[in-house]
Amino acid sequence: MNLPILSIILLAPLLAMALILFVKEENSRLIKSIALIGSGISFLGSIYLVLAYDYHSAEFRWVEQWFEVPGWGIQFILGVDGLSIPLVLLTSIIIFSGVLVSQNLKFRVKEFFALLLLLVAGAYGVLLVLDLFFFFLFYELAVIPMFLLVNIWGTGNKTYAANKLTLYLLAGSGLVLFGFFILYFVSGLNTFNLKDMLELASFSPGMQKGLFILFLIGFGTLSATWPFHTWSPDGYASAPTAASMLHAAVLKTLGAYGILRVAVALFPEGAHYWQWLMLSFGVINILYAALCVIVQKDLKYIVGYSCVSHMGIVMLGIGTLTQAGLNGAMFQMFSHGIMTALLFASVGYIYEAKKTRNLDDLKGLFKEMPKASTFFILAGLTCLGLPGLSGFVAEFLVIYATFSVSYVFGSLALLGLVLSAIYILRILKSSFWGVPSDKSTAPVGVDHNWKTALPQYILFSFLLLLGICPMILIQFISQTSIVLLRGY
Amino acid sequence: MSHLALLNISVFSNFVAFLLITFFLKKKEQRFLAAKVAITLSGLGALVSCVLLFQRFHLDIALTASVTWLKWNTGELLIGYYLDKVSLMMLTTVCVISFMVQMYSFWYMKDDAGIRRYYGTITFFSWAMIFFVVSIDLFGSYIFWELLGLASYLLIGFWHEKPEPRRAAIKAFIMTRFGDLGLLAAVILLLVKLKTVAIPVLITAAGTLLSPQEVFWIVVLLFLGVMGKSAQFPLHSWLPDAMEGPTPVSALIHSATMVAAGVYLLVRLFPLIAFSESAMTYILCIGALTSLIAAVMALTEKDMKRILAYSTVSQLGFMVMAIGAGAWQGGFFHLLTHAFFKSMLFLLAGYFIHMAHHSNDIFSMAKVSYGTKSKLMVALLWVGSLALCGLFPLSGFLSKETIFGSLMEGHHYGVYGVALLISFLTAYYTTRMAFIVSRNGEVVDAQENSLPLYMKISVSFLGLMTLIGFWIFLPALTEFFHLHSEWHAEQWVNFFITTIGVVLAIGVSYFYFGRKQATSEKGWVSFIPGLSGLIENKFFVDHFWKWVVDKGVYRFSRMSFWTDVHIINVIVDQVGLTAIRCGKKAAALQMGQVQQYIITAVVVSLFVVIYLIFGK
Amino acid sequence: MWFYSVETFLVLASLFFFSWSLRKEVHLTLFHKLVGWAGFLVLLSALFSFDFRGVFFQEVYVMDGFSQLMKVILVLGYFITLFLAQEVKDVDGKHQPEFYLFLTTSTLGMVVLVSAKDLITLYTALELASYSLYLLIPMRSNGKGSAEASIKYILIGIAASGIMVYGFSLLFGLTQTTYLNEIAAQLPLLYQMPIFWVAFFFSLAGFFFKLSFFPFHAWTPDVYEAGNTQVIGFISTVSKIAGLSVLIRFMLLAGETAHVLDDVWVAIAIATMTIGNLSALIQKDLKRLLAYSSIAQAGYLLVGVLCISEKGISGAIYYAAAYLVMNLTAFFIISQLSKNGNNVPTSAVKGLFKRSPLLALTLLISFFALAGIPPLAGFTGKWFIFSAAVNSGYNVLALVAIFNSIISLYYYLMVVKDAYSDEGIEAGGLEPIRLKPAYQIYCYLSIAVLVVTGFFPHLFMSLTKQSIAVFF
Repeated sequence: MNLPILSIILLAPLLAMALILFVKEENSRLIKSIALIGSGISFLGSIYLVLAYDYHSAEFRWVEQWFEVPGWGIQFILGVDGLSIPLVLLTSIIIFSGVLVSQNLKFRVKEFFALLLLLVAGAYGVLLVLDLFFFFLFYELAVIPMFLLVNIWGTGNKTYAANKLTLYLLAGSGLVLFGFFILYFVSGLNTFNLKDMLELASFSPGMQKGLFILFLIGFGTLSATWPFHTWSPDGYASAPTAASMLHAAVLKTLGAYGILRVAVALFPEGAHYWQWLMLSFGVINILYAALCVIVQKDLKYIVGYSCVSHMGIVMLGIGTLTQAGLNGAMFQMFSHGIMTALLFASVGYIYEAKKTRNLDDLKGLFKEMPKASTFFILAGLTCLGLPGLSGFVAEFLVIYATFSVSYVFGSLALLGLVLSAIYILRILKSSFWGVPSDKSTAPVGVDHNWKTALPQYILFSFLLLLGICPMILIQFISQTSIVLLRGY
Repeated sequence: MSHLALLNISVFSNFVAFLLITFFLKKKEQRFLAAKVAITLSGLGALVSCVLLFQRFHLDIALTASVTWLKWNTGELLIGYYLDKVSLMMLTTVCVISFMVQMYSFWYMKDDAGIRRYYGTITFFSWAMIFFVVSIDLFGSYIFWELLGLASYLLIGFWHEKPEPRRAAIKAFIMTRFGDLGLLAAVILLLVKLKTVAIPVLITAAGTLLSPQEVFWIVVLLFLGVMGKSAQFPLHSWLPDAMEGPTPVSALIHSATMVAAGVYLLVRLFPLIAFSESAMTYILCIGALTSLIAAVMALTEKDMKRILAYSTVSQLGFMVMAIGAGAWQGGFFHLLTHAFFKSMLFLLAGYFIHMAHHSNDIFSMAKVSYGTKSKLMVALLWVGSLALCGLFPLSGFLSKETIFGSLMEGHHYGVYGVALLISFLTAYYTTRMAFIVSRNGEVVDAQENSLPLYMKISVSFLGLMTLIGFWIFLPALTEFFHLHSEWHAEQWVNFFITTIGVVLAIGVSYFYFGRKQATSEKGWVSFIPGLSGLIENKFFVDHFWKWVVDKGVYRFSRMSFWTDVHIINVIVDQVGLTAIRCGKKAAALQMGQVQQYIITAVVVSLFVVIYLIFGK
Repeated sequence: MWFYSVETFLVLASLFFFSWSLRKEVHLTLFHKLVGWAGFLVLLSALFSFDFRGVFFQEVYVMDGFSQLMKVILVLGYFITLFLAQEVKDVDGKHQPEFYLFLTTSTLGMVVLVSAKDLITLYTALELASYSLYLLIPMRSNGKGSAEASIKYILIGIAASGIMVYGFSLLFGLTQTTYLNEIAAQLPLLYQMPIFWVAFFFSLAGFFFKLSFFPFHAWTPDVYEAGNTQVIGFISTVSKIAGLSVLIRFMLLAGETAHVLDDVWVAIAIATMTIGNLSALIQKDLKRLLAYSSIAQAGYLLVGVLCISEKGISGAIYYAAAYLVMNLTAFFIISQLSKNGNNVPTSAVKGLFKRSPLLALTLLISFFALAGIPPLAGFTGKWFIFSAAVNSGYNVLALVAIFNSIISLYYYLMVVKDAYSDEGIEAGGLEPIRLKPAYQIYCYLSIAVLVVTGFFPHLFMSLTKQSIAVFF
């Protein structure tokens, strides 16, 4: 039975959102359950995709075409391959745990869940759709709800953070928009259909170089590459937990997904020409952001910067343009997504319990809230790249690939490992361990019961599973990375 | 039971204990049950490993079993076992010592609240160490190498309420982590060149496939990892601070297993290392330097655990020096014997500290009278110390004699001299400690000191191993370690020189510390100008690392955060503000008078006309 | 069957309103119901006459696919204005019938303007439309600046039509004919002469005024601020689209040769967009903000038109239709927000989500559509226009347009933020806004239209494609 599985995954959140709009504000129970059902359906759909995908062929599966706009080369066509299936699974895991994390939200529940589901529908859209017009449509649809989410439920200097986040990302997407138009015009195929472009289009080297840098910067702003990353720490520091979970885990990966799907796949010469830039962006990202974390005092800023540092590993992996590098980059996209979600979930929980994110007030948290801080420590260990957890596999593959390309970049990336160890352990030393300081005014935190800890359990189980046997995810990706690199 | 099944049991027994403790025995009152479960399971593991040792030791073929962990077009990584003679012996040593230490620590940690967390981490550590020893793939050993680092971090920082253990824990982790980068780089370079890092391949074919220059760099990077973990010269300052952790932890981790992992790796990959002469000499120098500096630092140390820590660093440097000089069998033999008597010494230190109301200072231990000190413990202290000096009947003598013998055969006379000096210093500070601790002080402590039987068994078993254990196995070991069953002239000369050196050192230390009326603390060190000052500052190594971290890491992080806030953010905000400023100007154009509007309209149209007529 | 054409129904409606204006006292409630029905009838006639074709009055008046489509759009705007202007608070009772009369005559003028193929009919239709609008501005009873603004409006309007007529005379001088297609026929031998293009440019000046392009945009903020909200909604959308359709007709007639004026068009488009967007950033009054935003939107329309390619023109028409719906909804929200019709500062939007969730959602959808955020019609329209521009080689213009729409995001998003953020409003300060059932239906309809046409553009695009197929 060829159930239109992709459209179900895409429409489930949208329908849930539409339903929520008609439910009255008072019965928040119903709203939360609708949101849970919506994200649950897409979760099941993505699991079905993962199980039913055969790894040997790398061309697009479950392709559906709904309608097309004649003369403009636009059509609504859905399809997935080895690259997008893991990320679809990632998105559903994050939204499912995001909804679980915000179960105890009291303040304007209806709009919160409507915006959250809209954001995730945008993310699904980008991963599933194969047409540049709808790719861009969902790409911006994934960014806009964040503006309202930060403005209404945010903390701290939220207006500034919301404006900066949204305008920065949309400026980046402006470049991508311009790139798509040039692509349509230059490819000569008169269509925005990415599938045909991947097979038939061929571009002149000069055009490839220009377009590659355009897409690199355009998508790079969303995946927080070095000079364009300043929106991410401020944005996440003020965003509510579920929103920053989704944004950090899923949307950053969309940026890297865009670079892979559009830039690396279509422009081999461009990629080779700009390889040095990607490698240096990656390495600067890793070292620069890791250094910035060491002086931070606010937990959310720490997670924000460490997230930027880990996206550097993805950029580095893509920059190596080898199969191991791409495998490592895609693996890191998945594991980084889950890890940052777990970090934000535990930071959010600690913030709700202790009403403070300053490290000095959180002294002796391990004694007071053992479960909550263990989750943070476990996520920190993944961020550290401890073997046995998924962070290590990705870092190893990427650094191995970088070494096979150039020793200098490889050794610089290695330094990143020590820096990440330093900043994670400094947090443990200065706040979680030790004795609660008497001058801290924070209330006594209540620890997790199994219900509030459920999302964290789900997220950590994925980290552990992928750390122990990474072949599950690698076999998905290795076929696609061979196809992506066929032009090299 | 097939050998593979036995191996699986011995490897995963500790892991099962870890799982049981963390997930099932969670309630407060179950903490003693958790400890008992851990001890029985690690005991089972030790027993099975001994059975495995007896069954497999005479076989020459290695037991290999592996599964592909990660595969891509240009490389493959395996997880599994490679059990040959070397790893078999190391496996048994680690299993037995970890069982003894866990038994001992039940007594030591009985009244500590976190005993469940303690046993959870120690079983996790033992599993990681055992799997590291038998792992088939250098990548697999790197994985467990890191897990060792994590477990030691958690155990050093066990009493995390106090600030010193926290600082010591993070220092240990960062330093070993810095070292691990070297090992990771070596693994990656090997993977890039040979597409696999399986140890059987490395031992047999690697040398021929790689150019000498590449082998040199790979070995140097590998040695950086060893320096981190086995506390060699520049990266050794974390080990003395790691004494903040509970004493059984130091007994297991910082004497027998983890710190020995680096030396074991050198022994394991010796066929590859042998390909590059320059790398061997580099290892030799670092080993010698570490050994000398650590020995000197132990001379005036007052804290018993720090003396043992420095002596561990010195003995490790000694083994690394031996391996660097080519005598890897001697180094490995010394590694095994050292593991037993050093862990026994640490356990005894635990007892003496416990007895002297938790003060590590040997002079306060000296004040306690014979009545309260248990005779057995003092006797075992002397057995351990003399084994450490390398006196005749004890196991320390056997391994040191092999090293000296092979140094003599290899005609490394310079190295021989340095080794002699080191063994003189070792003998001196060890017997200094033994004399002071075993003095008959006047404080009679009312607290009863009946030690539980299992604690006595664990310590005396290690004592037995040092006394007679290795003599029993000598016939089996001679063939593997190239010992000379019957001695010729050189062996006797070698024996006399070393024994004279040791006896002389014992005499000097008796003169300063052993006699009834001896009161000096520093012994002959106070006569040499500047030496004690140098020792106080720990050869300025800590200052160097502090300078690197503060000047390097923190300065750069402040700098990068400053650029982030003041340069990049300011540019971004300015872009926004310029848009607003131009907005103000553009809005100001709207003066509001109609005639001004119409004039602009007409003037612009005129410009267009002029452009159209003349411009085109 | 010509009886059922739009023009006749508009004349009937204006006669109907004229008869009501003769009465002494006007029974308002009954009158307002009739107004709605009159508008609906006119809309029906426009839809009915959509596929009329033919040439009348000696080729002066033509009904082709393009004109009928534009008529439908114009009358749709007229109907929405009437529908939403059921209780016009700031025009006192006895002037109400005149209010609707002039609205109808203005629409009639625009409808004729669209089909005009001759310079003189063009001029008469334009003046009919403009003068009825000039009269509507001063009708606002309590508007403090409305008299001054209406004089400004009239003066600039007259100046613009003066330049236009001068252009027409030049055209007539060169080609000895007032029929547009005859002028087009003589084009091959005329287009080398720059004077022809000067004439062409001047004759379009009148429509620049209507579309508020760069040189003639200065009146927009003052008039929008002073005029009655419903009328301003009408001016900003319907009269702009009428101007656009004439501009398209002129461009299509000139055809490929019009690329001579490319640099002028590009300069005007960039100037219009940038001035509109930049000055809107700091506006405090909502109507003045929408004035500058409508200037910027006109700039985007020009980007579509100046490519003179089938894609560009159909994109511009699609965007114009979407713009009509978005802007009318925006002005409708302002009219609901303002108490008895006076102006509304941007801070009045604060806490709208509490006062009326539906209105807040409509505001969100319409402002996001104006900003060009997917999946709404505004975004799809901008996509069509910019991709057409890049297709015809205007890369720089497309880039500037994209970054202009990003700058415009700021002021649209700030309004939406105020609508939905809840800090800064004192607890009891908000009295909920009761929406009449008709208006609620309108809100749902406009949201549905903007979302559906945004996500499924192909429904409307096939329509525009046939209508302008005749020119390519």
